[in-house]
Amino acid sequence: MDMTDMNDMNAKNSVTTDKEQAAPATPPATPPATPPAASSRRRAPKRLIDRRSRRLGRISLVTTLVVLAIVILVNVVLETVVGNRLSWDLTQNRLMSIGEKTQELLGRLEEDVYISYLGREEDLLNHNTLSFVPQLLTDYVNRSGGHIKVEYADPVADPTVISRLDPQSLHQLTERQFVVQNRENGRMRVLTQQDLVATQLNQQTLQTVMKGYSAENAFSGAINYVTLDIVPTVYRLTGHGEPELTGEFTVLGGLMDANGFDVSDVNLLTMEKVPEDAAVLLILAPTTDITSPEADRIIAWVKTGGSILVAPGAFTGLDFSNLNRVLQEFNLELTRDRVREGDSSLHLPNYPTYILARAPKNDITTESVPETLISEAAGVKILQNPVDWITTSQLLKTSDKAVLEEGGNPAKTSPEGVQNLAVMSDTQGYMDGTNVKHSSRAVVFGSSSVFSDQTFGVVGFQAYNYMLTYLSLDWLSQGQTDVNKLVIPTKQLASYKIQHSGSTTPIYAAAIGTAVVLPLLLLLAAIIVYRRRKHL
Amino acid sequence: MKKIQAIYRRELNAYFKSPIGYVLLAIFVFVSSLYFAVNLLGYYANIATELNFMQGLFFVLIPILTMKTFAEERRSGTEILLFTAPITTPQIVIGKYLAALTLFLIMTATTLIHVVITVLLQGTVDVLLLGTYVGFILSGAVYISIGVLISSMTSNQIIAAIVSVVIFIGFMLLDAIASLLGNFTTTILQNLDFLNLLSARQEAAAGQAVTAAVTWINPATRLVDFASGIFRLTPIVFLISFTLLFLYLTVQVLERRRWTQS
Repeated sequence: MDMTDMNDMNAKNSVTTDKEQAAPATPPATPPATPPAASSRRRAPKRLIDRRSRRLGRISLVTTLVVLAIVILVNVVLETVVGNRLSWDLTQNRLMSIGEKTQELLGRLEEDVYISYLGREEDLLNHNTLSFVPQLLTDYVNRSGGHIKVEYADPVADPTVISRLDPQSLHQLTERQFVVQNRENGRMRVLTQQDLVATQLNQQTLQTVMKGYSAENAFSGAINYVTLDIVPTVYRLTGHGEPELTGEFTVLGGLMDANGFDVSDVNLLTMEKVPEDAAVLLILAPTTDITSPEADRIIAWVKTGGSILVAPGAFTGLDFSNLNRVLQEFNLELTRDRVREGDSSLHLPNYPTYILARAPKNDITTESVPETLISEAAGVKILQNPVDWITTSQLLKTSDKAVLEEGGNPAKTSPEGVQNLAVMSDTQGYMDGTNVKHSSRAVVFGSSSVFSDQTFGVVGFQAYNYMLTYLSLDWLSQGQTDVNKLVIPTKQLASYKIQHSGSTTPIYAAAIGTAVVLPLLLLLAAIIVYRRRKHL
Repeated sequence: MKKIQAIYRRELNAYFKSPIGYVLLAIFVFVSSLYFAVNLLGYYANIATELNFMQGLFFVLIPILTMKTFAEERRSGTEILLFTAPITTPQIVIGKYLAALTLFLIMTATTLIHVVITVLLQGTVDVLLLGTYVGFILSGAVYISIGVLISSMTSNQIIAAIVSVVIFIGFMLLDAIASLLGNFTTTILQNLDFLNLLSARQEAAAGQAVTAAVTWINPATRLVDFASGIFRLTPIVFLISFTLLFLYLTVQVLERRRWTQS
């Protein structure tokens, strides 16, 4: 029994007493100044009200608690049952949703893939640039038929998480990394936050600026990698001043990661031969020619069915005699002449060596495609040595108004005509059906600018550059990775720049009108209303 | 309905027959337009970020908007007129709430001027903005309902405003508080678990559960999705249901006072 009940009982007792006292058998001879019955009658309604108030209070408290419980229950049930299913991604490029390519990949999954973030979900949600990632991962989970499992494991709160994910410390896991893992085959790929955003160096300010999001590309690529049956390896030749992929070719590196290639370096100055597991040998922007022994080793490998992708750096007129010895196996030669476009509609304004190249149809380019930007390119020559077992095709070409600047000298040019900016070649001369079962292939670009970060910064992913890069690698690897074909371009940032290009007057007028005139008008209205009220 | 309309009109007129409505509008327009103008001079216009920025000012604007709703009636003694009028308490609460919400919507509508300017200057106005507006208005609706509840509990407008400000700032800090409570729970479990009944993972999970539970009740966290471009049903239901809950609590507070008059 609580105090309220006791008060109620007291009130009840006092009412009963009042009734008894209010009906006396005989009136008193001398009524008191304040009769007790009258006093009780005045108190009675107050007590009744008090009692009713308390009852109302109790009812109010109970109903409030019930309503609160209902509200919480409805929300919890809704979140459990509906969850994120009824949600719409309104961001430009559907930043927080996966695209068709990823959906196809997830639809084919047969194994469980675990994505673990080494940190707290709320830290990601509050991150300036990565706040979209939890929602994106939720979309992966929702569309994977239960094969993708996402977990947030904070190594600070649970120090065992790192040793649990990487017992042998092979990946040196640290906080704020994403671990994509197939626990059946033990394959793992670690993504850092840099893998999820695409950045670019601003040449004027020398600061790295964000240009888009590559998170879907990174996650899907990692899922693809950990679930692939065969993982082909692209070996990047080193030892000739080649730039790191992480420096000038991050898009290319990301593309290879996404498509299930393992990328490793090989130095043929120290190694006796190209590794046997090589799917493609990448000769990317060397600043010097390869040596003769290296050429011999590459030729030996080509004769076993090896494929090469050659792309020298920006034109310098360098003599690639030894490299050309390898290319002769494919009836190709890298010239010492720079290509200059004569059709002003097919080069960047005032830059005739920054060419918008055309891609004719062939085994790599099977349909009409947009133009491809290639700059400072050397001409690629198809040797006049036709043999039945070598097939060469133009991959990128100029208009018929282009010339070759001999040795890069603008004053000394070849006659106008169509120039080769990239050529593909397939040789079946080494196939014997037993040891060498497939042809050897080569793709030679006049310049590595086709897939440099600088070029993607200019043309984005609308030009043919990105697809051409992927299709060339895919053709060279002879379909070893074309199970998924994960060509997921970086999702570019929405631009909220004002495009107004005329006078600045409208901008100043709008700024002053909204930030100064309008508030002042409202304040004036407030003063008028105040003065009127004052004089009422 | 007519009774609600009568209360609504009376309240809305009160905002504009005193300087308070105009001053609030002037403050809102000035701050939002200053943000817009600074960006505009840099040839940049993103109304969604402007609205997210303005949400940060709710803790000042909404208490001023709601502080007099019931507190002033009680202080001036006109509350008894309302209580003795042939009108129910929910009708009074809804009428007053809708009037405050209307003033808030008028404030929000002033940002449409920025949208028009952005379009005229060939800026980008995308569908993300629509979601941001919905989130902005729904969050304003919840905060106003809380402000109205606080105003119904006191006869002093200043106290109503201060308590509302404290609560709204509390919401802003609730994430940090939730995190602290979560870590505290994990630490307590680690210290008390002499027999190692729980693994480190389970102890961490318990802490995370506490953090998640505390964060769950925070309306501010429901706005993250809208701000980042995700339009989701569950936060909309959450914000609407909590608005209704606070209005229900307001009705309860007033009912109690109405029927316990002595």
